Amino acid sequence: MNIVTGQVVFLIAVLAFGWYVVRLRTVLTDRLILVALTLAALVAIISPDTASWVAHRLGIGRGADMLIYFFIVFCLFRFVEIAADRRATQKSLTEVVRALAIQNAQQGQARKDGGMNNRGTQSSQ
Amino acid sequence: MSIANQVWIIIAAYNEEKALPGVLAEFQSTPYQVVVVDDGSTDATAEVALRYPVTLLRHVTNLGQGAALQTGISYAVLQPGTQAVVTFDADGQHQVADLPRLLAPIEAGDVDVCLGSRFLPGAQAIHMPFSRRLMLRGALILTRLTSGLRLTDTHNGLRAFKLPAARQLQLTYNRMAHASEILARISERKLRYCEVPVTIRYTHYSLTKGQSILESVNVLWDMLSARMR
Repeated sequence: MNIVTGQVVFLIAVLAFGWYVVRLRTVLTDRLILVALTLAALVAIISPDTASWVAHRLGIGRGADMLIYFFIVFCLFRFVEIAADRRATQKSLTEVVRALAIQNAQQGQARKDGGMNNRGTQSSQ
Repeated sequence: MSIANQVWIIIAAYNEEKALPGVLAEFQSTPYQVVVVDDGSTDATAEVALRYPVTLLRHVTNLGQGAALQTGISYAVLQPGTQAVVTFDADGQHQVADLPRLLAPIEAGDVDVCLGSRFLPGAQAIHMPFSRRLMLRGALILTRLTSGLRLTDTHNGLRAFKLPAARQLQLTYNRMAHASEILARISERKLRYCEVPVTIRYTHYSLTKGQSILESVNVLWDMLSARMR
């Protein structure tokens, strides 16, 4: 197996990304990364030669190949962002549903044994 | 004096119209307070529950067993006089007769949490399939590694919590990973715990409603994704 520089770079990027997701994420850094990736994409589109040059330095061969790698990292990034948002939304939803449930507590039929029902608010017949 | 009438039994129910009456009927002649959390069922679970002397809380949408249990717990710890809360499965696999034994160590003040175990001497697991036994073994090893708790049964739905412990639970895993979350909480809050033998009766019904071995993948996934920021 012949490992080129680019593969090492991207492997490190993916691992660092994992660490970032678990520990370092903030809205600001998310946006900075998004801007950086967008700028890189613009450069690659406007100047394919630059992309090829960078790809070459990394040992990846064609600029187009490198773009695919970038695309993967970018998708991974968006995926995580969306997943985290979903989690936060789910958490708020849970709180709302829970508060509603507790607010609208209903009492079932009173006990037949003449004792008190739950909370002692309703006595049986 | 027994604390039984200051004990809340939390029953999370999702589409349990068939099994729930049997379970609630058994509680009718007991002093326990029962709260049924209908987790957004699409069947008559809520109507069925209201025929019994219980408190009914309804989730307007299905959130999962962990969320339903936490809703019941949140409600119970707010009620005046509550001494302990117990989680109890809605599918009929637990025995009401096990409750005094489960609550005794809490009442005696020896522990904060008392967990049911189907693997202790004196316990019974009736009609347990081999695949289930295997899965629970795996869960046991995982628990020992992640929380350091030395238990014989990590995923038993029958558990009792003393009031302060119940307040500290604050379950955030909505689905099935709550079982592991409860154990993690015991470990991180250094709660005093014990296990008592209980009987689990597996029926065809409880097995079809229960967790398949693949569900453990979901549990792991939930636990890992919860670490995301």
